[in-house]
Amino acid sequence: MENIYLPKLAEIKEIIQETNDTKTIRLAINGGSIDFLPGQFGEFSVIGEGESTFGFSSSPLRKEFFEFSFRTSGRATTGINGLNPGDKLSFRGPYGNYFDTVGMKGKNLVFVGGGIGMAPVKSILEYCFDERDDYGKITVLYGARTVNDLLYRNVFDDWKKYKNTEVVITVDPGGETPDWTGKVGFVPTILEQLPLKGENSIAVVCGPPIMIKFALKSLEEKMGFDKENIITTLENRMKCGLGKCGRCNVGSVYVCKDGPVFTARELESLPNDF
Amino acid sequence: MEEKYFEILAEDLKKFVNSLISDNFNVIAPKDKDGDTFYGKIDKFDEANLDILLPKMSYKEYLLPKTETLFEYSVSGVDVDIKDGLGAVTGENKKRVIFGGRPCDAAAGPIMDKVFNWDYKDEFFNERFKNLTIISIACKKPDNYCFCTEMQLSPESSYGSDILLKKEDNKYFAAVVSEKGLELITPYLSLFKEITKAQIPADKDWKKVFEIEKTKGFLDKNFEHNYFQDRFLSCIGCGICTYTCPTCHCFDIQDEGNLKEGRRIRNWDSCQFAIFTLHTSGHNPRVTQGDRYRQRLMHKFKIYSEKFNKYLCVGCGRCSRNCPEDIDIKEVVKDLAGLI
Amino acid sequence: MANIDEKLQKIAKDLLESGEVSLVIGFAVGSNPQRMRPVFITKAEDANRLSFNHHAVQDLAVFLKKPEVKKFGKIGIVVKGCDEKALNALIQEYQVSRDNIKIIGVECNGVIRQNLADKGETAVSEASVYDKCLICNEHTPILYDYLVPSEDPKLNLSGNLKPYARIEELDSMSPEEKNSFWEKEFDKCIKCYACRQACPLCYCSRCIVEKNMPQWIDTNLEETGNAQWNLIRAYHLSGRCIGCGECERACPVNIPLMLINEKMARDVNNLFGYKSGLDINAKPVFGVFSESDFNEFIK
Repeated sequence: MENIYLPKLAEIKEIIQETNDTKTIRLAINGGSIDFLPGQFGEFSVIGEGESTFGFSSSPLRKEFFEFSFRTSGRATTGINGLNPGDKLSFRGPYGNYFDTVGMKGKNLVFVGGGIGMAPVKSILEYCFDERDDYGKITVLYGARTVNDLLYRNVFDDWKKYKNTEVVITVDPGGETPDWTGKVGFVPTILEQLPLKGENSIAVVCGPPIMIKFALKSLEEKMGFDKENIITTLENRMKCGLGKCGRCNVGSVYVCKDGPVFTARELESLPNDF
Repeated sequence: MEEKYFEILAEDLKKFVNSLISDNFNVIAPKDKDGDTFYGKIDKFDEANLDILLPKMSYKEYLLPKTETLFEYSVSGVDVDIKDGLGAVTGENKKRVIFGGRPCDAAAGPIMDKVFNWDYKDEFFNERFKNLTIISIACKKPDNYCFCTEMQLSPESSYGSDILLKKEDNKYFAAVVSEKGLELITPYLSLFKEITKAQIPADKDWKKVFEIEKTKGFLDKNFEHNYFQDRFLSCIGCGICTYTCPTCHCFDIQDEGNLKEGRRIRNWDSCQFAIFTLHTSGHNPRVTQGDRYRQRLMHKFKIYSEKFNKYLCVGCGRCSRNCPEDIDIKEVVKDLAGLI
Repeated sequence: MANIDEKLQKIAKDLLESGEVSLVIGFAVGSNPQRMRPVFITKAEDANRLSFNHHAVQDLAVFLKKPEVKKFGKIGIVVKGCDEKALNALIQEYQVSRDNIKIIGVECNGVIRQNLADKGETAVSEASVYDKCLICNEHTPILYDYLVPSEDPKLNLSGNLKPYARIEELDSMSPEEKNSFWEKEFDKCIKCYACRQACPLCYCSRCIVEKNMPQWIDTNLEETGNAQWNLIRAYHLSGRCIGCGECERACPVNIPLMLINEKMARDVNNLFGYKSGLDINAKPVFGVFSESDFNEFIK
């Protein structure tokens, strides 16, 4: 008889201080990664401090570790923030649905991320890089409030090396530093400046609700993306991740089971309860 | 299994229940306490109050305890030792009987069962449910807060019961509808007289006063309707409706203890609390009490029904009777059915 | 229609029509004739829904803490004497501005216990009303802008019934006996927090149970968590509780919370000579320090 609430213990391989208050933690169970798919999430915890829900931010094809990124804000994340490489973290998952990596094959891909919302985007993005020949042109647009709020700065250059790939990094007006060479402007604004077309393309958009709202509008109205081809994730508060505790339901979906990945078409049919 | 029918004299029913107790069954029945009636363990038949329509609380806690230990932990260095909480559940007294509850309460079992097993299997729930035998008594006279008939049940429904009793004068008719029920009475069969279905009085023709499908129809299309904000100004956001509800099952998961040792538990929780959906960022999808009461209606009459093709409500009316501000859910769902 | 209802309706209608208030919170007939319920009137033509009788158990002052209600600005509110004390305490604690409320006081000679009313009781008597009614000194509200007289006869007190009699019983118990009494009571607690939500003075925007850094109160619904919750709530209300009894009425598992609150109120009165909710100009007893304060506990 299996206790579905029982966590596994994962060993911390590496901790990357991304920004002042965000970190990426690389974990291994039995020395390596676990089976999951981009878009899925897990429940992570320092036992004794409570669980938190995070999406995976690494490509599942990279077998030596799996990773998530978090911002320190409450009791559970303060606990995780205090850990060091070699420490153990409790983990349940993977849970939820995932990006349709098969359906994306042969398409041009646009990845749009804002702030820490880039985490799940990084997972699917790096998955596509790992299978680079399966996909058409890849455009990455990532923005944060300031230069110092950008996560994954250490891998931007790696991304740029892939063929037929454009990587655009932007910060909100006022968030630039004197030596900043990227763009300055809100994500939806910069998005509209990119030469993108909805035809044969799929866009993945994750970030703060306000960014998603405007980015979706631009993609649909200005660039002609079909709602079916715009994909995002919902970040409702969750506890169990198993479709039981009743916290994350919206309309008639359980975000933890039927989501967190939804097309803009699916979102349209949900009531404004997220 | 094929249903079996029996007749038992009131005095023999008393003997039957007293025998169960002396044979170490844990018998839970409506019991008077503090001027009201609650489900509780009885030590003899006479402690049960079978006249009351419904105890103040449901017996949900025997399926989903107020607090459940999911596991215990102890930490030394980087090593964590985890002791599975399921062990304690499987070790519990397995012989538990709910006696004298009502058809609505019994219906809550299979309704919750769907949630706890639709995908991942919750063995805490399953183990308890499996070991619970439910003997319900059909209602003769529902009160004004009852609406089980509208909820696809009836005061005489056997859905979720193992044995359904119907009282008539000084005897009871018993419909044994499950293997569990049959197994329970088999050692005491001398007290029961087998009869045919035809000998049991037919169910009354219970009339519906509204169509719950219409309520759902309203909820499908009117999420932003003013009704919710206006009507639930009088809701004070206590969790009584959810906590006394036999089908409300939402829970919280918390760690308790210190970094050396402790346990992870799940506690009853309520969608009526603002903190229930509060994001770390400070964003809350449900800001007003109107939003939160609407969620309770949505979950019961839309979300659950779209997933499981039944409603997450048995029409027991406890949320109405117990509401300190007299919000009557029957009136509300009837209102909504009429607004469509 | 009862005379009292007409008077209430007239006041509410005038207040709404003149624009002096944008909302009147009052009572209306509830889900059965033995129940009243809160009603929120924003249009003068709806004022005819207002009613009042001895089933009007709710303390409507509780709604003044709701953000959804606060946004109405100027509010008229129907209060019994006990409920009105809650208004006074809220004014004392700067939660409500006297200028923003029109107090529609109703004389009250006792409200019938809801569990008895649900069983059909309709007569006000020593045996049918709440204990708070038996010790009530404010049958006429202390402060009001309008006063509507009662239609119930004055309560006839025989003196045989001792309100909150358990308090003396508990006082005479040993600490172990008291502990076991309360352990048993708190064991029933399901942490629905109805006591908090029904309380007009529990208005913290983030309750201590919702704080987890540190975790002040164990989250469990068992011995430790239940006792911690009930005790901390009692302390947060000491010197503040005005005795409306809404926590106890709301409690779905019948924990006798008023024994705690009334005991606290008596102690505060004995030790500091202070009763909560009597005077909007008084400083809350634990909000001020006086050299003459009882201070034996520091010794």
